[in-house]
Amino acid sequence: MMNQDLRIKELEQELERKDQEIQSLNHMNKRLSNSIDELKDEVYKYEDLVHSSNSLIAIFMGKDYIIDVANESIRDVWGKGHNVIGKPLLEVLPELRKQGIDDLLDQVYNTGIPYHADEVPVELVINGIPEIRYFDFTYQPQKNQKGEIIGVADIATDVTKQALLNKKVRENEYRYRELIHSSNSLIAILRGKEMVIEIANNAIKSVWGKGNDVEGKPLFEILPEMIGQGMPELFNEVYETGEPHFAQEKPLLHKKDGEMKLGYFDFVYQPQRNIHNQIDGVAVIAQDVTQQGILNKKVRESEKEFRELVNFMPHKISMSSATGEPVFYNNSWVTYTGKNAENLLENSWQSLIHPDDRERTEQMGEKVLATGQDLEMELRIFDKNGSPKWHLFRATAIKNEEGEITSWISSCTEIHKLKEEEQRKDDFLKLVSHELKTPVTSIKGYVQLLLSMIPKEEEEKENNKKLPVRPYLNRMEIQIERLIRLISEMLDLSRIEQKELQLKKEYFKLNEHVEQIIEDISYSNRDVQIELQHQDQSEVFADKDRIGQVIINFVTNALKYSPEGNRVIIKIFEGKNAHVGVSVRDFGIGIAKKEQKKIFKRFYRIAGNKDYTYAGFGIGLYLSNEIIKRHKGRIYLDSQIGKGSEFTFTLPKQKTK
Amino acid sequence: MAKILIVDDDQTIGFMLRDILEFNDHTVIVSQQPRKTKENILEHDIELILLDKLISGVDGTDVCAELKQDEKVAHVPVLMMSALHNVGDICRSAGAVDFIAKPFDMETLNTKVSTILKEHKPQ
Repeated sequence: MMNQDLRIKELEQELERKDQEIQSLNHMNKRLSNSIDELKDEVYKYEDLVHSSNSLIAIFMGKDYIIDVANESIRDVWGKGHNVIGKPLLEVLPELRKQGIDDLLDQVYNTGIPYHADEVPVELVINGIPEIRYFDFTYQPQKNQKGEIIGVADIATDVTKQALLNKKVRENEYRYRELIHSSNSLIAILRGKEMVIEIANNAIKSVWGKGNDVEGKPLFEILPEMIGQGMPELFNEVYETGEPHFAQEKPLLHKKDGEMKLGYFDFVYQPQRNIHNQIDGVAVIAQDVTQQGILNKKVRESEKEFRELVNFMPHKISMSSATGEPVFYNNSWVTYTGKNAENLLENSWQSLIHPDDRERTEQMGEKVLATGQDLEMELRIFDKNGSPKWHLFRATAIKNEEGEITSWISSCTEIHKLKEEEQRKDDFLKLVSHELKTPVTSIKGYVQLLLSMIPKEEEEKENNKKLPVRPYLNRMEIQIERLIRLISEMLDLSRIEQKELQLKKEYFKLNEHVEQIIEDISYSNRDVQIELQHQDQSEVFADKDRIGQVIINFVTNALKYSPEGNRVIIKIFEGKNAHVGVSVRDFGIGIAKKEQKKIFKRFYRIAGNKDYTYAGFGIGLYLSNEIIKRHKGRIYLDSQIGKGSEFTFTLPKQKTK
Repeated sequence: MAKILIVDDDQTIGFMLRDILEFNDHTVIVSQQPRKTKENILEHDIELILLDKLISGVDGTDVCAELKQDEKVAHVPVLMMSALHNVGDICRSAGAVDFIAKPFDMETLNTKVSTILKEHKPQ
């Protein structure tokens, strides 16, 4: 019994234990069912999270990467619907295979090491159109409870927009740097108060001559030579004030190839601001203008030399614009007028000139401004005491390569003393000729008196042949006549010089007058052969004596310069425009072309062959020309060396205004 | 022949003229004082005057014009002389009968003198 009881007891105990077990199992079951519910909740929670997330989430299971989970966001990117679940990834998106995505997945699957990459471009074919998209993504290995890899989760973000933007920024920056580096301008960007070189292009590096490795170093550490030249101060000013600094042709000593060199630079220092508008650097944009600078320096030096030269000269030099407006007066002008250069430029140039000379000067000025010819004239200019002094005024146009007048340069040389001397000389000449006239007149009178005292019949006598008084007196008379003519020329000359030559015009018969003159000349020159051709019969209104003087001058010249023959042809002919002409032709030595213009100048004399000079003062033709000019007529010369000359003058027949 | 007065401050010319005119049988008085011309005319009963245009600062034309305004001497012809060639008209308008330019030909002088004397023969 005992055994039974013990058995029952044992069974009861077992039953109790089982009950407890059941109870505990029930309890466990309850807990388990609670746990499943919790798990379910949890899964729902995660699924919800996965599906509602903006992140692109998918889970690929197994070696074939069967799409187990793919949230809406990732399906949108793929351009696929819900039906992709359960299909292998590379079947759904075959384009991934050639982009190496399969290798990446394999790598994660095989190694269990997650893979992460940013801004990876992936080409996706969306609705049949390939498109590049950028992703930040992570491939996360998925493990089971045992830690075995069963799949890969893909958590990605579409960063296409941002990536494109970044790409653009990078491209821009690249272009901007490229631009800086390829520029011929010298460019550097300096950061901070220390002027640390952020960018320096090749051009500026080559000028600095400090090699390529300058970025990141403070500017004045690599260019200590700039410190003494005021450059740090300049940079600081730009940095502190924010005002850009511009400089042109600034001379700077810089060390290049181990040598200090002088260069000239145009540059801008431009303050650089950050996005908060605070100055955080300075940009340097410079141009090496050393060659131009040296050239300009030379030009400036040369101009300085020119100005000093011009100022040193005793002549009064001035420059005028193309239109004749004075723009510069040299020191001589300042000294002479007692006015400073500004005063001279402010006041009209006319005020410097004597009122009697102003109109003439203006007329001449207008003429040369219009024609571009050189100007030369005499005028009186007031000195600092207000007294007018004679000057020789000359001006010449300066033309550019195209031949256009760009300016005028003028010089005034004082000739007052010369003028005074000339006046004295003229006065003296006048006095001398006047004083000579009296004794000559007297001698002539007595010679003529003596001649008249010798009875004609006496000459035939034997006695007179031994004492040939009459022929000697005749010779004396001829020489006296010559002397008188010379004196008269001298007097006439001084009259012309002093503008005292007055014409006594009257109507007279030119032909008769010429005949009379020829008769007179033939009387004292027995062996000459003068032919007179009357092609016109004319009465003229002129100074009879003066016109006679011109004809006598022409004929005596013709005879004088015809040493081997004494044939002269005089022609009176009708000229154009109611003029009458008289020409005197000889067959003598003739006049060289180069001398033809000069012979009408006073005191000009033609030197004959073998240094044989012809007698005379050299004023006959000058006087003739002046006389004819005052009659409003003209003188012409036609001459050939060895063949002779023909002098012609024309006169208006009637009174002229 | 005639009584002629020469008024010229230049003795040389004066004497030369005197010699020429005397050779031609005239009676000649030479004066260097233009202001005494009237006196001389009256004193010497002058029939012709040779008057220089410029006599030491005195203008001969003034002297001539003055003579022409005086009844007593106005009838005496005046022949003016000058070293200037173109003053004939001025001299004539001052009352001179003629004008002769220096230096002159003796012949011209003689012709002019005799012409004037012929034309101005006292009635």
